[in-house]
Order: sequence, then structure tokens, then C-alpha cells
Amino acid sequence: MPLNPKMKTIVIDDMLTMRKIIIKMLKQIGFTNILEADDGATAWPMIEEAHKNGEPFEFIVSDWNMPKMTGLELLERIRKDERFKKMPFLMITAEAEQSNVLKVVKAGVSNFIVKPFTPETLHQKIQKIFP
Amino acid sequence: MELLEDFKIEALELLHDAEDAFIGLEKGRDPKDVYKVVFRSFHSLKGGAGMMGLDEVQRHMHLLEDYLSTFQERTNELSKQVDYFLQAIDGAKSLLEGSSINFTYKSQDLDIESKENLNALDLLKKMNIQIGAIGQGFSESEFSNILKNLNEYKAKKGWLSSELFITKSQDVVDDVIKSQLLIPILCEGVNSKDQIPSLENLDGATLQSFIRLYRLFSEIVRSHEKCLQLLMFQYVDLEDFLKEQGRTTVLLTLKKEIFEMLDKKQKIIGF
Repeated sequence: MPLNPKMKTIVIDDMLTMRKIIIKMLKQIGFTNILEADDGATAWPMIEEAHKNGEPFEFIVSDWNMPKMTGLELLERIRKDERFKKMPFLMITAEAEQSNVLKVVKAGVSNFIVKPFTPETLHQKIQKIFP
Repeated sequence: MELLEDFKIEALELLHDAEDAFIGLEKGRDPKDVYKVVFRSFHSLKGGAGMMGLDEVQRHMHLLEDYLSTFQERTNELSKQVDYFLQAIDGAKSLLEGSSINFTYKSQDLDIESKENLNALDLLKKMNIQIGAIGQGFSESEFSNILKNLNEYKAKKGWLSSELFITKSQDVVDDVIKSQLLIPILCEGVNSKDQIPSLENLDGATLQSFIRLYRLFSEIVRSHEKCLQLLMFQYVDLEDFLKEQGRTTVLLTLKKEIFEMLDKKQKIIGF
């Protein structure tokens, strides 16, 4: 699946400023259709709803560490669901979780990116997901 | 810059959550819950500050998070560090405002002040290490008496007949070599059979070299973690490519290596 900047994307992070930064970076890369959620728990119904309405998300960018539902829990839930099995999922992590990174690899993450990162790194990671 | 101001507000909220949690701890809040809240606060702030280019704040939160994480398996001991963490949170606020701070960080390193009360076994317990080597000059039966006080540990004969290793896991192999780096120093202070190798028996210079080695050892483990991290990043980036090329054996080998390193890390985790 090549990179289509119009693809429907959701950015999930519990920190508002982080969402702003990531959305800003995505816009720089050329993304135009970006929604946001402040937790895995709020993102999940949005993802289901979008699918129901026939306009499913095509790309998920999610932080790992969130209070109600973590990025890993969301990823596991998504991969278990036939509808979302192949949905591209980019996980954002901070290095303390490094020993757990294998967990997200096993859970089927498309790629992950370590904070702090530059727009260039984000772009590269996205290009790897959508070659 | 508007974004920076927004970040500061959010950062202060996160610090406030952590403060609240610590204050709650003194009023009987579940320490596990407190740990979770504070960890999330420190961790989010560390990541966020990094993204904002606030390197001082990032470093501060990183050091605090590292120390906090040593309490993960012993959250009930957090209550002893409330003052320290509250001061650290104040420090974080000052850094956010752009002031510089003079803060002494705690780490899991040995608390030299309390060395009077530590013997080698306490020390091993305190470091929560998996494997240790003690007891040059002890017989196995003498040892089992000592070990009665340490029921999670088991004794095992070392390669040299005069040595005994104690271990939490059944499987003592390569990692013992690493602990041999440290333990001979500890044994230097032992003059008679009745003495347990202990920090107390060491003179100042020997104690210094023990601590130096301990720090060096921690560095080595940190480097090991870095390697592991890189290997895992490689793995993720290479996965699709190798699958396309039909070279799944390479992938399997990589995976095996990663698991082996993770396993090793588990064994020496206390360091």
C-alpha cells in the first residue's frame, strides 16, 4: 500500500501538546485527513465507528503509555479483530519500554518510533510502512 | 511560542498528579496505584520534554524515572522517599520555568551511610540480584545455616572448591563470572572463618573500588540494553524485507538472538 497523503489517520496520545506536535509533523509530510484521540479507550470506539460508516481509518499513530488503555492494549485489540487485522499501526515509545518493544513486535506493530524524534525520522518510518 | 506554553501547562498538571499521588500515599493510598500514576507522569514528561527540546527537563525526568523504577517490585518502600520525590518535582517545576537547579539525584547505588548495618547477604537482598558469590572459606553446611535466612536464594558450589554461589534461579552459568568481578573485593575484608563478607569489613579504599566496579558494571549492563534495543529496531525494519526475500531463517536467527539477550538480561537484572 503506497503512501497516500489523503488517507484517514488517527493520532492517539494522552498529552495534548504531543498530539499537536505529531499532527503538525504529519501535515508537514502532507497528511490532510487527521483525527485525534486522548486515549486508547477513546480511540477504539472511533475506529469502530469509522469502519461502520464505511470510512475506516487507514493509519494509526499511537503513544504507548496512556492511562486507560495503553497503546499495546489497543494494538492487541485491533489485531485480534478481523476488520482491523491489517491496519497500519505506528507505535510511539520512550526508551524505558525498550525491553518491552518485543511485545509490540509480537503483537503485530507495523513500526515504532522512539521519542524524541524529528519530522524526518517520522517520515522515514512512515515510508517504511507504506513503501 | 504558543506550543511551549501549552506544554508547560500540561507538564505542570502531570507533576501535580504525581504530587497528589505522593501526598495520597501518606494518607493510605495504595502504593501500587501511586507508583503507576507517578511513573506515567514522569515517563510522559520525559518523552514530552524530549520532543519539545527541553533537554534539562528530559534529563531530570529520566533520572527520576530510573530511580522510581527500582521501586516497581517494592512499592511499599516508596513511602520512605516521599520527601525526595516531592523535592524532585519542585526541581522539575523550576527547570520548566527555565531556572537551573542544584539537585542531588538518588540511584539504586549503595547507600554508604547505612553501610554499618549491611552485610553481604543484606547487600545482595538490597540489590535484588539474581546471583551472587559469597563465602570463601565456608563449608556447604555452614552456608546452609546462613541461607536459612534467605529463603529465596539457593546455594551452589562454585568452580573453585572454596567458593559458594548463592542464586535465586536454579541455573547458574555465565552470569556468575560477572558477579565474580565484585565479590572477591567483598571477600578481601574477611580475616577469619566466622566473618561474612561484608561492606563493613572493608577499608575506605577497598570500599571505593567496590563501588567503582559496581558502577562500571551498571554501565556495562546499560550498554547491553542499548545493543538489545538496536537489534530489535533492526529486526522490525528488516522483517518485511527478509520475508519478501524468502529468508525466514535469518529472521528466526535474529529472533533467537534477541530472546537469548533478553534472557541474559533477566538473569543480571538487579545490576
